[in-house]
Amino acid sequence: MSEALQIEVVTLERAVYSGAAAEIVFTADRGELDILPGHLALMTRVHPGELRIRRDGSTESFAVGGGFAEVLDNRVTLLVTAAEGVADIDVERARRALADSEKRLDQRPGVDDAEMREQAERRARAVARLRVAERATGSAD
Amino acid sequence: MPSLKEIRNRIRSVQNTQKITRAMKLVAAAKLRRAQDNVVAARPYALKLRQMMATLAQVVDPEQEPLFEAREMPSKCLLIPITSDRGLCGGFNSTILRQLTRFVRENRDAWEGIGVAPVGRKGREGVRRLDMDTWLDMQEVLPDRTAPSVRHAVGVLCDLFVAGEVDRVYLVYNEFQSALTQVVRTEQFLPLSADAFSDVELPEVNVADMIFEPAREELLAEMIPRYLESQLYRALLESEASEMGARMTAMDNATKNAGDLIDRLTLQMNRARQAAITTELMEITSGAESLKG
Repeated sequence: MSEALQIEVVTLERAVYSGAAAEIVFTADRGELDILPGHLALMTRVHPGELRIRRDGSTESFAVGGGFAEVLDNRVTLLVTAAEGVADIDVERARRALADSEKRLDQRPGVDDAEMREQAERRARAVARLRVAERATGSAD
Repeated sequence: MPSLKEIRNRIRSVQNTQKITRAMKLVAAAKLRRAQDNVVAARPYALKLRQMMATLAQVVDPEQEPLFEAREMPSKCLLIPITSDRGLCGGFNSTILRQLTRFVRENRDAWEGIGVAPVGRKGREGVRRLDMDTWLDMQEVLPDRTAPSVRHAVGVLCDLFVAGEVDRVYLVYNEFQSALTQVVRTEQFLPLSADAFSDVELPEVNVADMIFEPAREELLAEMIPRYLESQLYRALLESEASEMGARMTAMDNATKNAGDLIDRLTLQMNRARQAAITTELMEITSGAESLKG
């Protein structure tokens, strides 16, 4: 029962992850959501952030974009705009994207339109990338 | 029997045609590779999202979500055939048009009216020939096949449906299987009622007490447009890859046929030349004979 979850992570471009796992953590509407085997049927929004998949004691991390998740009978499906593993993350680019999106958000505080939402999503994704990359280098030390 | 010169000219003309078909085949092959990559990449997301929507369609109350409402007395049915702008691609467009004709023949009695909104120049010309009613100018609604256009088109179609202008919408497109085969699909686009997902395998779990976060309405408001966009976009990609495959195959056949024709004409030319030489020799020998006499 240690790897009772069937996980599938699919982005607009490809299927990123498909396999068994013991636990999956991602960001949903009310903060981080931790799914363990036996979870109730659930459909939720996924926010840009960190995705962690634990299997056999090792954990794989991804920086994901926004999307949707479904939990049905121990099958977890994540549909997100993008998902990058540690190896795919360009730390320099993420830093630049973070600085740029923050600058844009600061220029028009309080405005909530399509462009501002896009920038907020960009910032969240940059933060997620940096966190995933940091965790990877931290564990390597 | 055509003269030697006529046959030579004919061979040269067929050779020129063959050069063109061969070039078109190569171009189609290059485009096919890209189109195929695109559609293969887009499939998992579109199919998974379709599965999620199928699950949702079981629990959503159509009274509250207008796009899920299967209207009891279906009266107006809109078909969206997806065709190409250019020809020379074998049966690619004609199979779509044939499917339209068949659909009308089989469903004429079930609907008050059946209209079309053709995508692609060949489709526009085709429905005019078939004398079908065009209800929506897709050149305006979907000017190109990019993501923003798709988003716009989905918005227009949803508005039409909610306003009651149309009661059901189908996509008719070629699904890409391989460079040699395309399969015509007729897929229900709207409404998102449970019967639209008859082809989807549903999980054997009770979904009635599913938790929604955020609340169902809010989640649906975000998910429905994404879903419809991904379905329409995927249909366009499938169609594009199919078109390139069909054109490549058609042009490959044309090149082969031109080769056969050249072989046959060459044989004919050689015979004609041989006949001319023989006649000449006979004339010379008979001339020499008569001199001897």
